[in-house]
Amino acid sequence: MEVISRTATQLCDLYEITKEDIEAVHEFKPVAIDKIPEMVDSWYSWLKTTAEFQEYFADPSTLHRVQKLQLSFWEEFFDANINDQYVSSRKSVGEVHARIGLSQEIYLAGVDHFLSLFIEILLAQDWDNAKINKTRRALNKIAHLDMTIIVQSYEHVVNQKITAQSKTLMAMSTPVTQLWDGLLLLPVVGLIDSRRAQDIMDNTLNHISQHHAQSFILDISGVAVVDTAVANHLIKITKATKLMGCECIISGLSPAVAQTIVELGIDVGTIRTTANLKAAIGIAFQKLNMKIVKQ
Amino acid sequence: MSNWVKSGIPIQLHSQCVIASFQLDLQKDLLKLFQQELLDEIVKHNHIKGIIFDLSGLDIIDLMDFEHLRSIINMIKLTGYDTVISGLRPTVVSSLIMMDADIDNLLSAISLDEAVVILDTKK
Repeated sequence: MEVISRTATQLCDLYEITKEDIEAVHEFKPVAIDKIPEMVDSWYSWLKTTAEFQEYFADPSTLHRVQKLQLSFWEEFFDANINDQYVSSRKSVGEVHARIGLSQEIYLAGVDHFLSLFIEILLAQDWDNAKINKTRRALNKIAHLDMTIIVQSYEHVVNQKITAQSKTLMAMSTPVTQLWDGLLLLPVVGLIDSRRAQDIMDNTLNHISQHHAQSFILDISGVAVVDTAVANHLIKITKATKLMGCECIISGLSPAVAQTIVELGIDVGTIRTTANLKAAIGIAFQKLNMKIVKQ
Repeated sequence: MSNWVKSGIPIQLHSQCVIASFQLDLQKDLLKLFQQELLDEIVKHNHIKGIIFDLSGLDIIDLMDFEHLRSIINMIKLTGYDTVISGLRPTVVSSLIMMDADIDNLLSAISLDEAVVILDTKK
């Protein structure tokens, strides 16, 4: 998952942040900066009413540290020195939010809260209307710029998490195990789509070459639906294992599956199929010239 | 002139099996040369069990070359011998399957040992 990352200047262009905007913010800074500690306090007293507060800020030392970070955040905001360093500092804010699992809602509500407080202060100044409007617009632009960067980096981290998880899931969904020397078993559970079939095939082939397996049992008793597509995937897998020099036996064909396969007119060719795992193991051992004997 | 040009694919005799080990990337001209060399070699011997193609050195086989290999196997069949393909890599197999290669009626083995065993049981 690639993030579309714009440089600082490109972002400024996107939000049409001009020198005048930055000047307006600079002019507003001395007025606002004094009030920020107060605003941070008021924000946290609002935050206390939310469910998230107990989860993230229950520890007083954490709370203190986060408040400090917030102060420096807003100082940077009013410096409005938008360069690559600024962008990367905003990015790391988003990444931290994503990592600790702080929801976007809370962050966005926070930005809104601060913005409205700034506007309040701004309106209290005895500046003329044009100037107030300009400053207001400038604040909005920079706040939106911040939000874009933070939300984007938040998304990036979350996407990375999801990709990693789906990879793990894929690995877990094809548990090829060695039953005996040269005999592998793969129980398939759930649905087989083309992506998963490909995965099963790749995984199986790798295991076959690793273990030098001569027989391979594919147990499909856990597969919910076998239609033409699934059957074709299974046929492909057996063909592939055969090309590796490994005989594939498909076990666990329920009566329902057997009926659908014949009714759909699927030609299974020379594929060995059995109703249960026991019969499949019997065939496999026969191929390996082995026999299970009762003591 | 043509006597000097060689395919560069070694053809050896081991346990009465003719083993051809492919190590270079397959090409049409190369396969043609190889085909000639192999068939000449086979008819020289009287007591062989069969032929083994060791493909473990190949990282990739395209559809054309695979078809050519198949046709060589068919030619060998006409001389009365079976051919076993051995040591195909997982990636090669999965790409062949993806390209819908016709892989029916082929004998294949996971290793040379296994290939010899298959030829033993065939005879």
